[in-house]
Amino acid sequence: MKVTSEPLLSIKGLKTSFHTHDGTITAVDGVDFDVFAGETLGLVGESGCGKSVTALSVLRLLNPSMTTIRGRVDFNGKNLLDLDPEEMRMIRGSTISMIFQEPMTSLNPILTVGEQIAESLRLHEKLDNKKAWKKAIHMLEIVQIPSPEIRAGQYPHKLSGGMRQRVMIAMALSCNPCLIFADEPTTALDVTIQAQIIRLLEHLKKGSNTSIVLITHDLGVVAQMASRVVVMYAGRVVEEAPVVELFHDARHPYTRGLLKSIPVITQDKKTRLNEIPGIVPNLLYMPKGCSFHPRCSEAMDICKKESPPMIHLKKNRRVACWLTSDDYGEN
Amino acid sequence: MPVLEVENLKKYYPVRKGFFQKTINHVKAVDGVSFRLNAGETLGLVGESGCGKTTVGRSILRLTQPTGGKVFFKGKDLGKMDKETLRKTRTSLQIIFQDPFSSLNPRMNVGQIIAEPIKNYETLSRHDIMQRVAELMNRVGLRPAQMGRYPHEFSGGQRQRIGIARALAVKPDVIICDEAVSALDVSIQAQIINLLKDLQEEMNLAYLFIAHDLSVVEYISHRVAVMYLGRIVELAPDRNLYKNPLHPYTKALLSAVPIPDPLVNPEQEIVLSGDVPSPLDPPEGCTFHPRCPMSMNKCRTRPVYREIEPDHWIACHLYP
Amino acid sequence: MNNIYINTKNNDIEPDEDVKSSSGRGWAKLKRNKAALMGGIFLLIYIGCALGAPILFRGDPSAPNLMDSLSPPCAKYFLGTDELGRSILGRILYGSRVSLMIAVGVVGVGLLFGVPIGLISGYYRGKTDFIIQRFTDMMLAFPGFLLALALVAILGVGLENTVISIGISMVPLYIRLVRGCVLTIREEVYVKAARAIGTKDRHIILRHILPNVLAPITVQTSLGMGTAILFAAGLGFLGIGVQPPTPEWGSMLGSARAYMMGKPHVATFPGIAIFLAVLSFNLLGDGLRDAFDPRSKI
Repeated sequence: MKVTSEPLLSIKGLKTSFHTHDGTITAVDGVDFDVFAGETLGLVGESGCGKSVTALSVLRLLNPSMTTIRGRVDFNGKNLLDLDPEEMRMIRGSTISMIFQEPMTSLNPILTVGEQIAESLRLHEKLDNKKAWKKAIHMLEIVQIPSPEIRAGQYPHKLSGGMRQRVMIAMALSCNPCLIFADEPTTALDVTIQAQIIRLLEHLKKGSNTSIVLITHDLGVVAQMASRVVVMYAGRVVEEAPVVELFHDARHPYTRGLLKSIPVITQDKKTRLNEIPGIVPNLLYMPKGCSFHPRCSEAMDICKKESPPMIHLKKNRRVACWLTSDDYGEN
Repeated sequence: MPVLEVENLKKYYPVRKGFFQKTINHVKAVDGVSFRLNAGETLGLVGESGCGKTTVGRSILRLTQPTGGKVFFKGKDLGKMDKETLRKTRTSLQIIFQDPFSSLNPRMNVGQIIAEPIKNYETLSRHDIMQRVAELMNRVGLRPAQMGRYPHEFSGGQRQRIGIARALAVKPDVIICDEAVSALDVSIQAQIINLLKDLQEEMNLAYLFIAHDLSVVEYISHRVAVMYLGRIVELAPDRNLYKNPLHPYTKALLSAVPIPDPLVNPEQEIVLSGDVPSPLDPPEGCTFHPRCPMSMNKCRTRPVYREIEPDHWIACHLYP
Repeated sequence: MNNIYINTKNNDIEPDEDVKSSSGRGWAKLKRNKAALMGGIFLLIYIGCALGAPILFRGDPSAPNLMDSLSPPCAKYFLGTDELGRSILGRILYGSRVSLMIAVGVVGVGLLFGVPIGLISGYYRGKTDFIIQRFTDMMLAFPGFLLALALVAILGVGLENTVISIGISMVPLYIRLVRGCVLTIREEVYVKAARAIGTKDRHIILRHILPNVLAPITVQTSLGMGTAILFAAGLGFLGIGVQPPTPEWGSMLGSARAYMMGKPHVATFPGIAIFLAVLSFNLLGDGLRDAFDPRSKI
């Protein structure tokens, strides 16, 4: 895995707001992170933290009449947010692609599976019908679907959940993207199928220099697949670390709390699961100061008044927490 | 005496075709499931989609009529009860559902939702009912002042607490937790799991904990049963099952669970090939044998489900 | 245990203080729908006319005054007079009472029979449902108006029979509508939960199913009232609905047929009245439907 020093994708100050009749909801509130070539970056958080919206914002898949996106998304020397729709369309699906969560509903039910892959190939690689179909079958083979020639002619409802997810992966890979956003790719799948899909993704990554942004709430999957992790809470990044450090030396109380609240099969039993009390804040009524402070067991006075700064501990290691700044002083 | 005893439970759904709706086949959702549940303990029922675990829960409660087998509650056969006796027995057998959003009537407020079971069985004054509801709300971690609010005003975890309060209202002996925490965020899951454990200790409740998340099941259960395509393949005390699984499917299932620790190398992962076969057309004999890394010729006949060690049951030809 | 909410301030177990209830949000949506608002305003005007007819128009609307027969709109008669010299304005105002009575009566009949039958048919399924549905099929095989016609032929003419005939012709629609909703709602988890906590069938239907069926019923009621007025006008036009001298917009149209060439105002104004009344019910009904639909984006 070649990791160059220049990031492949650089998100700076991304802010995405939705305009609703109840008010403006800022789902992503100043998010920055980089993605390097060939790595798997885990983007982790619970529901409502803004991780999916971040990916949709980068790919500009949100409804422009209802959303406002600000900030920079640098990719290949251009700011993706400045591109016009036509240019964006050429990038989507070919250079940057996405795997969605629900394999049941993200495939078009009235097109055959092969047709859906071929469509992307015709559009981006300008292949003719015959070549596109052949390549589509080849892609199905790559994702280890047995009898790909037969499967290519079938409609999505004939395939199981695991197979549909493989088809989605095939679609995402068909034009050799350098970056894939995988939004909860295994959440809707059974655990044995999930294991197959994780294996498949790891296998496919080995041969190429493709980067994956793995969006998930499942810390087990992150531990297995990711090399670096970004943790989000209520629209902001709260911690970023290489994967081992995140799991063994988490700094942010939210990350720590999250790790302690997962039951682990091998753990010493019957100790009470550590709870994070309370619930995720309503994005319309965010608390003053640090958005996590109402649930934080280590909250100090300043946490209730001011939002913590992002402390950079070392390269690719940062925490947004007053506790850390106490230790290290502001950077 | 076990508080719940299930004997050879079956639930088949007929597949009809043609103008006259002739039954041509059956979907064997549950195909001969047996187990015992003792007071104060949790039996985990684990398996992947289509294994029939949810159907087992619904059939026990007679929310759907079983096709065969018997269910005994404290020694009494539920199948032999008339409608009214069954209804009265429901006070002892309750259920918590998976989806906190659809399990509560959106047009009833919290107080009404929790009071409904009480009103069904007892005639109490309005004041007494409100008192009971307030106590229950306190017990599950909700503020009684919010009795007049409607479900959509609460978060998923809070709604699940409302569901728990409703189930507790009539002082049950057994609660079936049908994927009760699966739809919740991890941090909320921990809250609810802790709550369920506390309640179990306090009230000597027995749980049938149906779930697909093995880590959660292992944490909360005393004994665990693993299901595959309508049958239990292995049942054992949880320590035994997780430390020393015997059935090949159990082994594969456990090895597939991702451990939230990057330093722990997944042990030689048994990755099963193919997908779960359709319950419409299950394999002959042992339903798992086509995907089993250890299958033999013998596996074309159905293995007997028996107790090979004290309280360790298994259905596998490897352990005749 | 109780630590859960001691630790937290405004974002813990407090349900959002300012979240509008779902009906609150529904009203807001309705208010934003301009067409529905217009329909609602017209409807209020219509009801105002019906209630205030005696104040807005003095005299007997049915008393003939042959001297002023067929006058065009002028200062004395705002909308002109009909062939018997009666003020069209007066007859329209009094006619609005008749139409409103018919609308309410028809929908009342439809609901009275349609809702209970639909509830039972949908909840219990089985043989009962089968028989009821075949019966409904038979009735629905006839276009609604034809069915009403057939019933008038059996029952006779007049205001009461008009209401009964059109009402009965609407019953199968309500049965179908209610049954359809019941079929969906009875599969909802909270209905299963109600059974699990020992709620009797009767209470399940009344407390869990019926309240959730109300929304589509309300929409259909609004649209149904419009249809009722239209059907009544049709019967009146043919002379087999409300009988003269009672002012009814349809029969006014019917008797104005003969004068269409020379004196179109006799037909035009009742026609506009029918149009506006039905339109306002439809606009309001559509608006209600959109307001209740959680997925619509307005």
